[in-house]
Amino acid sequence: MADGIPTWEEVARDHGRFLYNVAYRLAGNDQDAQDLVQEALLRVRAGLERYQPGSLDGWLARIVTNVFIDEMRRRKRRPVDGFPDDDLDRVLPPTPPADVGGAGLSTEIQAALASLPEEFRVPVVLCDVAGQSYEAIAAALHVPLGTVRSRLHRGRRMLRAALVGIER
Amino acid sequence: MRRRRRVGAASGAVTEDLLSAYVDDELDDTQRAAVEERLASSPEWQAVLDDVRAARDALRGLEPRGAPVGFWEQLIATGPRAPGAGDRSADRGGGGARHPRSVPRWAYVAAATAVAFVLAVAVVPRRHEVRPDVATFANAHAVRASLGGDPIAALAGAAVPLRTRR
Repeated sequence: MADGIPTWEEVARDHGRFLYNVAYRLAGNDQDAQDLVQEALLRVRAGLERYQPGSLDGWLARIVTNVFIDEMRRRKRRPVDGFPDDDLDRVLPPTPPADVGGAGLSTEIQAALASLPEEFRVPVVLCDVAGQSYEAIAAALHVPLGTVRSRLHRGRRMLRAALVGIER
Repeated sequence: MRRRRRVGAASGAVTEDLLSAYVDDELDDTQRAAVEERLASSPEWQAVLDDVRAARDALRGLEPRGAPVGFWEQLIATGPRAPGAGDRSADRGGGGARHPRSVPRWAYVAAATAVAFVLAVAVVPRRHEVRPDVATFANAHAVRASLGGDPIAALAGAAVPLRTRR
């Protein structure tokens, strides 16, 4: 690490778990999360010279969110360009969940989260998974604070409704 | 340390959206007081607050999702790669770039069309044409031979009868 700026390998080693978790909650599956992390680290490597020492997690959350949003836009432009079926067998086996006792609950919460439209899922993940402030979320998404507040609130209400629906 | 800018500082409206900001401690003092006043008198708002808090707590209580076994080791060893880059076979079973999506499908169609065109031009046999055609040439030769009285050359007219002309 030079001048407080980490190398991308240090970012991967020290913040990879955080990065992967955010990517997974955004994407909803390991396959896409791995792609998001790869692309995010490419951008990290390219942008490290411009990185201002501060909240590295916030910077990473912003980068992986931008990668996710770019990917969603790309898929909307080319909806037939989904992941090929033959790629399914190339997904690495998932790590055994750390919360073995609550694995079922985790799955339900993840399913409810994945059911949210992206415009609501993203601020919810940035706030409740990445731990970002409203101001940081607004900066990351280039929207006013009031929009963050509104989308976050609606996203949580939708999430709650989805969870109740799953429980029934 | 920079102080967080509070939501709602510029607005006097008390809307339900403020409940999430209330839970997250993202309101200024004025807005917080207004929300608490409304909560004290509105069971509906209290129910919404409970829902919002439950959703928030559910997400925040999730264990972090870990990457698949071997993902980080391979990524650090090979470096991050854009999805679609690299050799598919080399990636099989690994955690690197996995989707060759950088080449759009239309490019494959265009390439196949180009190959078909080249094959059509270069390989498919074309009709062979000779000018003047053989019958015309032979008849002219026969006429010249008969006028010259050459007995051998005169046979040429018999070898290529006139009816072969189209």
